Amino acid sequence: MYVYILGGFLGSGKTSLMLNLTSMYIDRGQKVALLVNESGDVGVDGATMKREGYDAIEMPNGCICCTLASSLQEGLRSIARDLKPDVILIEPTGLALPHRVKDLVRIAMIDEEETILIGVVDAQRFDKLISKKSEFFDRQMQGCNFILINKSDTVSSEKLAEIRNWMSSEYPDKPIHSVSVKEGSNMDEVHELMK
Amino acid sequence: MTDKNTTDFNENSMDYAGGVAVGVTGYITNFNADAQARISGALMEIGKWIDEESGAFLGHVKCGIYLENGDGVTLNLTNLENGVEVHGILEPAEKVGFSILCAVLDVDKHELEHMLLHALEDTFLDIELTKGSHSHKHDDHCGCGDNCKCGNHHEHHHH
Repeated sequence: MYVYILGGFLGSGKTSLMLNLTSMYIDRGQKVALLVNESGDVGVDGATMKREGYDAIEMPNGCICCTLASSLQEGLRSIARDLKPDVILIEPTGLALPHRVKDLVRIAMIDEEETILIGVVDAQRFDKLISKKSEFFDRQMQGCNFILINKSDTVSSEKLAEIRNWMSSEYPDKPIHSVSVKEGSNMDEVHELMK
Repeated sequence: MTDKNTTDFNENSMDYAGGVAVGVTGYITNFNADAQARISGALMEIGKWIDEESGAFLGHVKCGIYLENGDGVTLNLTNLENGVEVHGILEPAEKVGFSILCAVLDVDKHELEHMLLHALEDTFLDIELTKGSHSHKHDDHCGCGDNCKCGNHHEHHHH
């Protein structure tokens, strides 16, 4: 069983990525469990998943990296025990620190093969986010196994190259892929990375 | 940038980011394309206010509108330039459920709740709230007093 955590800021495209990967796993004939966390006491992404025909376990009203840490662990144990999926996809709130979710998965002791953290970056709002919340952005990228610069279709090729160069210099140890989940650009590359 | 691999689970990441999250759920009676457009308009109104208040709209305002069987549409605002993105299609229906979540940075939570409720009222849709901010009560007239940010909207249709 593999666990994937889709980390990144609010609106970076985590939910779209989760839908895309879920569809891919189903096409592969693999069993996938979805866990969606929203910071508000109201959930919207769970309804989005349901509309697409997927059942997701929702954890609203907090953050699974801190205030809902114990709920996350209980949820993971329950999923592992009852559903026995091939893959668990976790979407923390966009205000979470994803590397802490990774630690919590390890502590939950669900006998996973590996937990992989994917960082999702919004190309379109990149400059704004870095200028206002660079420290928070950096902490969200900590522990990522690889990083997706999403919404590549919304910026010029020059801007995309600029973002990519900046990310590569800040995170030289992390593979970086430019994608558009919405348009499907370079998603084959991402699918090949998914176990 | 250095690797700050803290495992202090007592640290609240939302507070650290300066984030707030408010939301409401409820029902809309007589849902159709016009109602959907009005809800989109409400989301944009909220987004513009956030942009003005915080200096940059960072976060998202999203709304799920759905039938009991799960069919529905999601309206998503993450960038004012792009406007509200629509995912899915929902045909006209007598009654639909909806959820709105605003998760954004650097605004006051109470004021955000206030704006959300006003924006919904300004749609003039037949809306029944089942979950959300009940601390802000509206009467036939806006009674927000001197601190009201409604502007000229001092009369609201109340359903």
